[in-house]
Amino acid sequence: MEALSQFALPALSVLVLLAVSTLIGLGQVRKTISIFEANHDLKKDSAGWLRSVTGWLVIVIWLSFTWLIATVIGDWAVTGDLDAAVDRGTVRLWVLLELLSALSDS
Amino acid sequence: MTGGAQVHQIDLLCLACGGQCLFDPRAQELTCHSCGTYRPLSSDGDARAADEFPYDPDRPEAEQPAFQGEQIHKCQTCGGEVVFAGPSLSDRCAYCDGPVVRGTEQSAFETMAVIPFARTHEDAARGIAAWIKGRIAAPDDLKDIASQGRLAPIYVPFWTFDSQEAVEYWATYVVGSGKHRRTRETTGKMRITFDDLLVPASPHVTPLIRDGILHDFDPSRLRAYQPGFIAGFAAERHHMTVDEGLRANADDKDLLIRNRIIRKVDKRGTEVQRYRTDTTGIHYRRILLPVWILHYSYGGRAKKIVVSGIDGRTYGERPFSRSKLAAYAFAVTVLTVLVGLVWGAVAVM
Repeated sequence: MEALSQFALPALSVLVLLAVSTLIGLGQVRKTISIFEANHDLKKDSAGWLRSVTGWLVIVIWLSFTWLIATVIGDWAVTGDLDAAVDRGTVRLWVLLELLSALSDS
Repeated sequence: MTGGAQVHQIDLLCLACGGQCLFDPRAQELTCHSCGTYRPLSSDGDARAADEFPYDPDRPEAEQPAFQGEQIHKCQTCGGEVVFAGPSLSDRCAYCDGPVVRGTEQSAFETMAVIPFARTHEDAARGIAAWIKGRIAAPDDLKDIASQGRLAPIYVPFWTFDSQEAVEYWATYVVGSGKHRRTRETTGKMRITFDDLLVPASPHVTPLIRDGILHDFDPSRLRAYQPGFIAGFAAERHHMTVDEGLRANADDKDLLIRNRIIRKVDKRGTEVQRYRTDTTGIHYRRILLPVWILHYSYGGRAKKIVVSGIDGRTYGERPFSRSKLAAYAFAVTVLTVLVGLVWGAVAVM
């Protein structure tokens, strides 16, 4: 039973994370492609280009939070202590929020 | 037909055989469809075709429309109004592919200059095929479906605007981070010059399409307007006054000015709170630019791909394949999750 909670539950969590993140990622991948194509097709610094290349921060947020939750699951799988893993994840979350804040300023 | 239109029809008849002449984008001349005789379209006005005209917004002169009550073709779907010099080659709208009916034009202004078509139907079709091929995560059947669409040529009305802007701005920016994050205020003055800012004078062409296909506007390619240039093509006339044209460009100009201010301040988290600009030196042209528009329908939704008739640059609307998007999203997610799992595991070892 203990082995189940140490490996099976984190593995199950990984599967759920993969499914949810992929679902959310559909729109983000589409946005990434649209920005890439706008960067390639539209005249640089034109009004249309400026409007089209906005919104990339949402893509960064999607990837960042997927990574953050994965770090918690990785921690949990190794230590078997979910509460401690969440605490360490919370520290990473604050660092991540600072980074995202700096990115949004740019 | 009005008298003016009749004159145009006679001007477009072949001098050798009396057949109907159409503009040939490759030869840049009129060519007779009966005997193949070419007729040049150069005129004394070409040397002054790129001339710009001054406009003082404080003293707007009452412009008199050059055309009133002439016969046009009006789209029953999007309301687009086009004229044909010579035979009307289509009963479908070039903008939306809806049915067109003959109608009477309320009023329109004279076109000052035109850049003639330099890309043929085959060039445009090749450009569209290459553009579709370069789309990421496009459905596999997009090329086949788009190839069944209708490719229509049209001269679209555009403005070019020049102006000098004396801008005074008030902006904020950010310093520090975390608890030490502070917002600072700044103010300043700058001069911005807009040269040949292209503005669509038709509601059927969006600024996004303009920015997709018209990257390098070269005024030296302008020719004095002659009906011969649109023989065989549809054309929309100018319906806006200069003041209306300037208002149509207001949103884009606001965005461009704000972007220039942000670059001038050049600090983290810059936000333009407000600015004031004194606009002088407005000069304009009323021109026609050549465009090929492909209409196709994908998944029941009407879409269009637009090709510049000047240099073949292509831009348009495209669908996405959900299965390909899902595959990309899954691959990126797997990679991100793997990095996260290893990071979390290694951090506590």
